[in-house]
Amino acid sequence: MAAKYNLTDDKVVVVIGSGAGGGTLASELAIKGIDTVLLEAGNRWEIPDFENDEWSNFVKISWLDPRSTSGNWRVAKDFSGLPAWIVRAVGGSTIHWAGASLRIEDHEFKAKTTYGDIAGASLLDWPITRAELDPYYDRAEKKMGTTGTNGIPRLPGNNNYKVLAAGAAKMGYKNFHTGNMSINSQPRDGRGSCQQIGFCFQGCKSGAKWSTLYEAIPKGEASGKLEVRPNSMAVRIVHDAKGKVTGVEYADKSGKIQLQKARVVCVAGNSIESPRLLLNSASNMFKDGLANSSGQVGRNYMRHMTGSVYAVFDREVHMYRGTTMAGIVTDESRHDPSRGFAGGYEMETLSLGLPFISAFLEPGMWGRDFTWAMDRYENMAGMWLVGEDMPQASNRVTLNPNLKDAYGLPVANVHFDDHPNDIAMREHAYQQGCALYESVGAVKTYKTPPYPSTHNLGTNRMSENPRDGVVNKWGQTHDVKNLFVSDGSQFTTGAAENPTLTIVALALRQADYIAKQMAAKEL
Amino acid sequence: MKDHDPSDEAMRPDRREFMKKSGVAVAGAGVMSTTALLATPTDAWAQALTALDAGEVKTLLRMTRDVYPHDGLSDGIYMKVVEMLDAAAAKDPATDKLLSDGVKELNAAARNRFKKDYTAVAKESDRVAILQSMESTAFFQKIRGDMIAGIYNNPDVWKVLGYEGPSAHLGGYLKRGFDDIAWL
Ligand SMILES: Cc1cc2nc3c(=O)[nH]c(=O)nc-3n(C[C@H](O)[C@H](O)[C@H](O)COP(=O)(O)OP(=O)(O)OC[C@H]3O[C@@H](n4cnc5c(N)ncnc54)[C@H](O)[C@@H]3O)c2cc1C
Ligand code: SF4
Repeated sequence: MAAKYNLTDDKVVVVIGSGAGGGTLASELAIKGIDTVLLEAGNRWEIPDFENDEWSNFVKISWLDPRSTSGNWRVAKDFSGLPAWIVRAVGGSTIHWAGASLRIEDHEFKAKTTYGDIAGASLLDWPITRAELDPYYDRAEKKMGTTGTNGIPRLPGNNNYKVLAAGAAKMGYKNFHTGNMSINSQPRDGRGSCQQIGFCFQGCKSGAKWSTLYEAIPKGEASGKLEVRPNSMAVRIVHDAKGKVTGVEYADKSGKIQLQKARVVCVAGNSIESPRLLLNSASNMFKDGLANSSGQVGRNYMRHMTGSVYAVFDREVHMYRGTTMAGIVTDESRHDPSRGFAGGYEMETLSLGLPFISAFLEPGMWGRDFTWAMDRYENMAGMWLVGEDMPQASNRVTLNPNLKDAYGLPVANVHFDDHPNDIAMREHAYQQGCALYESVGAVKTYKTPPYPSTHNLGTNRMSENPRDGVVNKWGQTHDVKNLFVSDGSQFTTGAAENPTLTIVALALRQADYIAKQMAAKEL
Repeated sequence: MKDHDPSDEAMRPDRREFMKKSGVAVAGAGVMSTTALLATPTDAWAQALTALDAGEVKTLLRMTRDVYPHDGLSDGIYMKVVEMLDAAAAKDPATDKLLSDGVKELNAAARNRFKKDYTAVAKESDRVAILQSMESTAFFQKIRGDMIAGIYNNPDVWKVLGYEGPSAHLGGYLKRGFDDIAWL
């Protein structure tokens, strides 16, 4: 049964945000017997509430509070008020994620050592290695039911995958399959198998795709040690005279500010809200924001090098039928500077329905060139290109003093400039993607620019040296012992892989650490 | 930090306002109702609209077809977009003015180049040239942006363009062709 805790109970661990990081962490802590309160800004929707309708479901579950943008990235022009595509609801972005679950490679954990000095990039090695994280990757894959691991069969390939695979073979690529997807290919863990519904980005109506909403969180609640509070937006973390955090102020459903006391606070609001909350928690003692003596809070914002290639064929494909992203070519993910850039990228199938593709294929385009493509929607195939982008100190989440949200707090401004390495990689990826589709007869290909950021990373990064980042190898802030960061903002570098499996593995590892430290009265 | 008590809903930013500001061109997403479609634009239809006059309506109808021309779509689809614009103009004087002034500007540009009103310019390529000259105006961007939802979020259009849409209630595409590609 779900627990219920008093606002004045200062024995609880408060976790802020219920997505991949926060939802996993809160559940693990509760299962270990630790009293946990999970604050979530959004509503608690359940599977029946999800709609097979791109726009109406988007409006229902997305983070639509105002944000601003700056920098030379294309997103600032196309979607100036929507830099990121993030869910505001219990389950966070694991509601609309596609399920692609890849481990970061050993050499990517050592980005600085592997790539060397790159002008303008603030590269660092992670303070942890792949070998250290592997046991937690094992646990994460088991928990999430990732296909291609633990003897779980891969998903069957849909039409979009078959086009990708045929092209990959023609290109001489060797490593392609339907991916490591946290989507049940057979019934497992009380959830059914994928029905090829094709609305993975709108919330999986069959529950086949993993989400903290219906996997981690209910298991945590069943332990009797977890209280989930939806519609509870954390606005400030408070501390005592010694600089230890003591609680979290949040706006409840009616907009009233409440103070939940806490023994430990873990921030997991995704990489835009997490630094914003730390910055908005500035006090006399911490004038530049909580945990920010390094000045690194909000810096090194990463969003992955992305782009998409859509191709029109002279025959039908129906890419939208079935899983949105179950298909991958990994041959380009290696580090091979002879291609003209450091790091690598993945090619993954992607389909959008007609409502989304019309808005995203080439924002602003009109006339016969555009309608020619839409008239051939059923003949389209698509892939997403996702690769490592360079961390830059100036790519940054800051508070916008001129724009306040409904709570009167400055909103986040997201500044991003593409690094020359990102641009070179994107050009290469576009070229390879187009060539792949042309090799199987594409009549026309489109180089689609980035969508609002889906992978938001790095704004509270892990570092060995407290001067270089915000948290240590456990996600514990360098400055405040009982304050943790538990989401993708911990990433030291972005790596080429989709980030969620790593976020979950880090949360599992952090839960072990917090439990041990609490038992040892270190926290 | 002040306390607030307005209800959560009241505190959320107006969604349509958000869509506009965010640059996501979906003002009107989800508003597509299923009003009966007329086969051809008629004067009666044009006069039935409330905020825009008949001349404006006809100009906008021609213009919407020129911005996103699909020969396979009936006029009824584009009439629905114009109805949507009319409804927005009826609700908001600024939109009304934007549309009325925009139509005047469009006709002025047409007369300047071709000595006749926009709808009287016979060749599509000539009309497109006029539109290109106005591409950066707020008027053009309003029409173009609203059309993304007005055309491509309309299930009647999905059928014509080959998007099958919602599938959960039909058991997904598992037994309905998710892997039926045969030409590769
Ligand atoms: C369309 C789409 C597809 C994706 N597909 C994949 C994929 O295939 N593979 C992959 O690895 N990744 C994918 N991602 C990315 C993945 O969803 C995110 O990387 C991941 O969910 C991030 O986890 P997180 O814990 O950092 O944040 P989230 O999961 O976003 O959770 C953050 C939560 O915190 C809440 N919150 C924020 N601020 C506050 C506050 N102040 N108070 C209370 N609550 C707050 C938010 O409402 C939200 O619920 C996809 C993303 C999108 C948009
Ligand atoms: S395709 Fe599979 S995973 Fe995606 S929403 Fe449908 S059932 Fe869920």
